[in-house]
Amino acid sequence: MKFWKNLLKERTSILFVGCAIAVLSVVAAMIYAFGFGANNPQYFNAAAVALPIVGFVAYVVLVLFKPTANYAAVVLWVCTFAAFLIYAVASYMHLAEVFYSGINPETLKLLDKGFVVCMAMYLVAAIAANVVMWLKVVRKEVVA
Amino acid sequence: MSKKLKLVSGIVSNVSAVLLGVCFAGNIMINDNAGNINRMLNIKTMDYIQADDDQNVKDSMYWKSDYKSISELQNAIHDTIAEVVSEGSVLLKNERNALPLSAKAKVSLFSVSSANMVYSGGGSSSAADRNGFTSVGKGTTVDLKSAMEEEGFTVNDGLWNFYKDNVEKYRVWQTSNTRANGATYYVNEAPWGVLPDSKTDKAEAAIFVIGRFGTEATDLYINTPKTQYNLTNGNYLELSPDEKDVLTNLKKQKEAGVFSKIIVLMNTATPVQCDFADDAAYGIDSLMWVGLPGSTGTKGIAKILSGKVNPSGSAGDTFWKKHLYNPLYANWGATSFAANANGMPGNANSRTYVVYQEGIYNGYRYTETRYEDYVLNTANVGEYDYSKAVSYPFGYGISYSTFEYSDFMVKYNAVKDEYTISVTVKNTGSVAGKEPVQIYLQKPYTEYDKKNHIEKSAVDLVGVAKTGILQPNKSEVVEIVVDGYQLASYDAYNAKTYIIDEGDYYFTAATDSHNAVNNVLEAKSKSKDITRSRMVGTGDADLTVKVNRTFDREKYSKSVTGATVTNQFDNVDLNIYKTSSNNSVEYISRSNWAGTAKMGFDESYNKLDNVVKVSADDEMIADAQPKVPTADSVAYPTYEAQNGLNLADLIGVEYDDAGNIVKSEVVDFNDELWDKLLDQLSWDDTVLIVANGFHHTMPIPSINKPGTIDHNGSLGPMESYDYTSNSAENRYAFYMDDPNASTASAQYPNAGLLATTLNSDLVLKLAKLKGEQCLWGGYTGVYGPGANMHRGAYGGRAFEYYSEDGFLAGFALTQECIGIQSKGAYVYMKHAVLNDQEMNREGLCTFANEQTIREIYLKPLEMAIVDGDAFGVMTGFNRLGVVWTGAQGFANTVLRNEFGMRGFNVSDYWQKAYMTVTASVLGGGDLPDGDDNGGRTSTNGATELAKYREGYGAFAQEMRKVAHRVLYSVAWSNAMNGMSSNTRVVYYTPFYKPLMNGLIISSAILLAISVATCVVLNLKEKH
Repeated sequence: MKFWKNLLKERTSILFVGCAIAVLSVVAAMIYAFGFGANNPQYFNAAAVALPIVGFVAYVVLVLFKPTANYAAVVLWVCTFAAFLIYAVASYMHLAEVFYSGINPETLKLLDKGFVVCMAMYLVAAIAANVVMWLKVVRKEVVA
Repeated sequence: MSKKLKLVSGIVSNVSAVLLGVCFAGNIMINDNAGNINRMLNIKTMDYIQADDDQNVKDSMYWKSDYKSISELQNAIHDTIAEVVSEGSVLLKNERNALPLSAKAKVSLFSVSSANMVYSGGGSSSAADRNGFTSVGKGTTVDLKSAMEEEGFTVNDGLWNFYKDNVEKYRVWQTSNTRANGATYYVNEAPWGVLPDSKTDKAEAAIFVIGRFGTEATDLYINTPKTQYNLTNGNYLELSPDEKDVLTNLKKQKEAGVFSKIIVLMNTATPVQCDFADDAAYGIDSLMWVGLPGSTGTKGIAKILSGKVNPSGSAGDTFWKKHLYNPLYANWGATSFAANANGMPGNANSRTYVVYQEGIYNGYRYTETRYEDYVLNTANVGEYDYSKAVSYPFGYGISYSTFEYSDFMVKYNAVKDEYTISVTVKNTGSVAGKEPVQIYLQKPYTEYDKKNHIEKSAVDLVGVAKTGILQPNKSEVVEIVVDGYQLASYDAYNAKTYIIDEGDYYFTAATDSHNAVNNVLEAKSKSKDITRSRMVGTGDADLTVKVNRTFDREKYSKSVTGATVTNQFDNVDLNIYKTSSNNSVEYISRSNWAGTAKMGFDESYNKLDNVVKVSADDEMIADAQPKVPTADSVAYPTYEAQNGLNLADLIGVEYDDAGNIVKSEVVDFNDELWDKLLDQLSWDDTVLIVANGFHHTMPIPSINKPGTIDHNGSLGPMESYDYTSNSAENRYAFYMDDPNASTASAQYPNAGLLATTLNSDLVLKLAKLKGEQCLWGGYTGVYGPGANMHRGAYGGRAFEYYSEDGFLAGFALTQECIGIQSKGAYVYMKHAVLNDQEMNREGLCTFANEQTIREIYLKPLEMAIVDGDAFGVMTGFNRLGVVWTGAQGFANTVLRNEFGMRGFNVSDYWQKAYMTVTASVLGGGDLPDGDDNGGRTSTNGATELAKYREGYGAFAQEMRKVAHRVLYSVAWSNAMNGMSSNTRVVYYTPFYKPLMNGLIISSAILLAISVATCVVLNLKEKH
């Protein structure tokens, strides 16, 4: 109990932002794994699912301990950014396929919602993790 | 200072890490799409270096054009398209001689499709501009109004402008897309109430055009529940409520004297159901099927309407009164396996199946066979009303004239095993015209057949021809040769080869399939009671000849190549392919029509549950896994031998005194020179050939093999003459330095319009022009022609295929292959085999019995390979049974061994979920329609094949065979134009590749330095 109290005292609110980002990237991975990717195996790459999970676990573990807490967001960013890139490489051909006939209201309807949602979530997670990486998660010690 | 440095190095490390990641991912994407990028930036990647430039090029033009320029060629193409449409359009109804129209008549064109005709279909095989209403060559597409005016008609401008102005609101729209089941079909016809006042302007004729589209990846709707598509019963091939509204009002106007005739043109690939044609509510005088006419086919239509051309097309499909009476639809589409299909490699489509439960009884083989049995009152025939089912039978087509047949004779040449059939055709009308002549054969349906589950159609089309233009009262004797092989039937369950049944065979000359059966019934009536009250129409026994044969199971057990013909599709027939699920099928049989021919829909197109139920099981899932080779001690082929040969050395050339080529021929496939050339290849060369095939074959500098463009589409080349100008040095457009090299391709009519001409010379003429277009545009291989069948009328790609009949399809396909290949472009007939629907095509398991496969669905390929020397096929996306077509093995066992195919195959695109390069090599599938460079089409070929570099000699020998077939085909082809013994093939690396590599390396270095700086500063800070 004391450990958690100290933890909350010694960490800034960035801890929660980082956690939210880690959750966001895992949700994106789940949507990809069980939605868009499952329906379109040709656009599926398991690494884009595994990396957010690794990132989430690593972030949670690293942020718990003071010596490693400031590196947690770096690892989270590496994982989310790599997941985003792998996802983009694996699935970008969906755009070519959908807009084969040109970009118009009819073809826009063909765009897979799962693809768009995943792309947006991965991207937001990668950018946010990069921002968080620059912010202090360990509170400065106040000298009495 | 250190704080600032830390901040800067932090920012730099962040930026360089992002840059590294983006460059890395971007590099993969760029490599995936290198071909497109090169094309866009006009970057050359390959070149020929001539030892002795001009002289060398002059001496190595193996394939020459008959045309001097692209514009001359284009004119010939456009004229021939119009000619094909004028001969292929089928006049179905012409009450009171409503057609032809009077000279200079005023006409009103009705319907959205009159002003916005469906010129072709959608997807990768059409030259449509991706929305299907105009061609790539927009400037060359001739609309119906222009064509009519050219013929001297006056067209109602008010109506025309209304339809043109409201094209976004009212039209037969679809989304042309290759995404699985992604297109949308609907019929937004403008109802009578919204049409402008000019709709009641007085005119001789109201011409109503029924347009329907089709596209790759999405079948036409047969009973979609989506009512928003304005379809009656959710059925796309039925008149929509708004179309009925307009036709009803046209009849009222006719009665009011505004029009004197109502003419309907059916602008579709397959027939719209014809229950409307004789419906008194619409008062239709004339009905003509005009297909999808391509760039200039409207000119052909206008010539028929004016009477300049007398129609002579012959229906290539049965025109059903209602499609729902076709029992085939009980097993149309895709059904999920009843159990345990989750381990099937591939996506959800792989866990679905279709069973060709109708067997051979597709189209007229059902309608006419059941009709004959009904007239003969055979056991278990059930109730059958032919008139209720069929509006116009297969083969039907009327003329402005009338023709009479006489002196029907059949002579057998035992040495050649050929029946020479002759008939005198006389024009008994008052207008000159051509007559399509059809020869049908009835084989006996015997006790042996019933016992061994062999089915026999009442009649099979076995020969076609067309007369020249016959003036009134003039005659022509038409001779057609029918191979004795056509009398054979495939016995899959007992003899396991082709047999000749004992009994009477009837040849007949007929105007259509129904007339053929009636002729035979009349002949039979001399010795047998028939129920005349059940007959529809009449026949003529004098137009039949009976031939008696004894049972023979040896004569056709060897193919033209001498190979033994036996079962090769046991794993496709659920009655032979037995696993723990113990699936079975009761195919439609004429011995029990009532019990086996069940319908798919009720009268309102509600689905009936008559689908064959199939369960998957572990054995099936195991069989579905891509095959892998087994390790062995077989010797590997020789690699990297220094034999000094170039691919061009494998062409034998004869020159005249002036040094011009008079004859060139590729060295025989089995000549030892090929072994010497193949010995020069390295393992990597072989992998390069085997693992890459996406719209090309790879250049191989070690033997100076040029790269080739092998590209869409099935109706003909669809790109401009300078398409991918960086990678086809052989194109004629460059040799001739033609200023019109960027001209767009013509849009060719749908395949069915070629078949319905029944004119082999005309089909060949158009096909040669397609070959010319290949030559000028640098196409070495064509992904076409289409060789699947109209299994029913709802196939999304039916516009690429010829007919419901295998023989008619084979007739047209053979001429197409001969014509295209006459200019050095090899064909990839597609998609072998049983890929007759789009629904779930990517992995769908297809089941059928071997008789059906061989007699109907393989027939076109067999004819084209045996009679037309067609070089290759594209295998289907689908599975044969549970095994992907590219790996099933029939390409080797049947296409090569039995039929004698000498070229190579390519897969239909590339789905790594269930396709592998290894399985393709083992199964005779040859090349992937994918590349070995990542991305969606990635074959991962080099990685996959690297596993077999040692200890898999037999597999390496199979790889060599693939390379042999590819090299042989390319040596034969127009890709060798400009290539001689002294020509060297060189590669150029596009500038962006080193640029990307440079960016990756620099950003990696930058990242490393900045991270190191950060670490050092951190350490310093701590100390």
